[in-house]
Amino acid sequence: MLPNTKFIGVLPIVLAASFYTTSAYAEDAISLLNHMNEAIHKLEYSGKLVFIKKDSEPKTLEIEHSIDAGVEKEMIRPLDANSGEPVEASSPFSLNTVARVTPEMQEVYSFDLGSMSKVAGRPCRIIIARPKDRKRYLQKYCIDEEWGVLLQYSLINQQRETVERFMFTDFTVYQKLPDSSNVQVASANATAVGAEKIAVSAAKMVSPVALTATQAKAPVTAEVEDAILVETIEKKKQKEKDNYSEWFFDPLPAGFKMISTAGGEKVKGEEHIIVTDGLGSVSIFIMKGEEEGKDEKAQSSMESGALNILTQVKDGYTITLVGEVPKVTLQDIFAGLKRATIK
Amino acid sequence: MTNTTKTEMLSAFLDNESSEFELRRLLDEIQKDEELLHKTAQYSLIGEVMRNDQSKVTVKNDFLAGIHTRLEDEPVYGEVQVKDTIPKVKTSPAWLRPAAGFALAASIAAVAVVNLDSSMKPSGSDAAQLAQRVVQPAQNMIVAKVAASQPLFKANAAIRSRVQRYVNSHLKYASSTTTSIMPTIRAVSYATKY
Repeated sequence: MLPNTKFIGVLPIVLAASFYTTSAYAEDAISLLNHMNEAIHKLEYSGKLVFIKKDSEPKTLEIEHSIDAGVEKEMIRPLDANSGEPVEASSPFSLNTVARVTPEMQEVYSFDLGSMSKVAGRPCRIIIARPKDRKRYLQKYCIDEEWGVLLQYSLINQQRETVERFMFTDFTVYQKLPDSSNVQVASANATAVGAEKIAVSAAKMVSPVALTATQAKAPVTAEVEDAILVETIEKKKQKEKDNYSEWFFDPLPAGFKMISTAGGEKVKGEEHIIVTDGLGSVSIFIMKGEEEGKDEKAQSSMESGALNILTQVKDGYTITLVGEVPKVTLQDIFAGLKRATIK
Repeated sequence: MTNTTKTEMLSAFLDNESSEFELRRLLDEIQKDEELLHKTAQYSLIGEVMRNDQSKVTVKNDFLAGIHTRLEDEPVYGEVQVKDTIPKVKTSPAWLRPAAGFALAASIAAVAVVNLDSSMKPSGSDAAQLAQRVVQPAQNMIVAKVAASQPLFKANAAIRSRVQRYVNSHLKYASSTTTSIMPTIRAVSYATKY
């Protein structure tokens, strides 16, 4: 019996539409993630959230984010029994800082737009960053489409277990600054690297003097631009000098790249290297001295929620890897870690 | 038995993958090999490094940047001699050997289990099963090994301190140099006493 031919001609159109729809949804998911990064810095808000790790008791926290004279500040207050005093975060990016989605990230994650949901009484859109291999966790976001705030976030392992999750139970926005305003991290609280990043990017846009919100941008002269460029190049050279390491990776797991070799400071002769795939990061700490002659096959590992730690010896050095990635990824990164030898 | 085999047995034990036979063999080897004894205690105690901080979080300014300052103010554990609580027995009558071996194995397991709280545990292991399997009388355990375990308490505290510093550094620097979700929330939840 011949198939109904009138439908055969429609089939390519249906397939094309399906492909277009899938691509459109992926683009929408990426757009919403990028929006989340930008929107959060212009909001003043407070909320209560629950933080849950696998095999642990849930913990509740209160968070307040304010903008005072163009400077972001954040306060986090644990609410459970035996909790301490409120703590002021060093970076106001405690909720969500996600890299702008790059083609490299899309090679290892597929970004899918999900259905609408509701968290803390607010409608939010589900977005899934689905790993294309077993080297990273599945990440599930629920983003408030109106404010761009991350209301719920989950990390899920290959066994479909939620290893870590946080969700707001209460959320209130007090004020939203205009999109044109410039907002700076609180200088007293910012980490050295974070402040440098923001200061450099801000200086490129406006006069180095005028960095406060609500002020009009000062005109940027050619001399100012040159001075900024020279300063940036000098800082980059110094950073390359500080970041020199005899260790390198050959290879790194797909999607990962080394972004830092100093980690801000070297402590007691240790090295601190950071690698990331855009959504998950791993710190590698290298220390010499105690393990020379010890068996290099012995490996110790532990886990806490999404955080995994692996310790093993290589070439007489104790290597400790810490990251929000599966244990197998730490093992692969360790296997690819090599030490340059001077001939 | 080669060093590679011993290390594999130790790794299997720590990952809760040892059979009863392998466990007995491991305990036998620990009697003879001081280095293996050292390694067993060292690796077991790594699992306690992320226990909850007992002090209140009172830092009001720059919480994450203050972590390193607080850690620098802590005493250097390597210079502190922890009081030995394991009894020394010079002569070992036959009836005492299993009990002494039990005490040594129990001390290793007890430290590993008690200090493995809900926040941090060896990957893939059940702490209760681990305790039950390790706490068994060891046959003909050489009691002199007890004295050799004293320096381990110094080394274990140093390891604990170092790994905790690594986690704090990761939460601080990885979050500022890369992109990450909720680094401060993680740091606060690890530091707060619950």
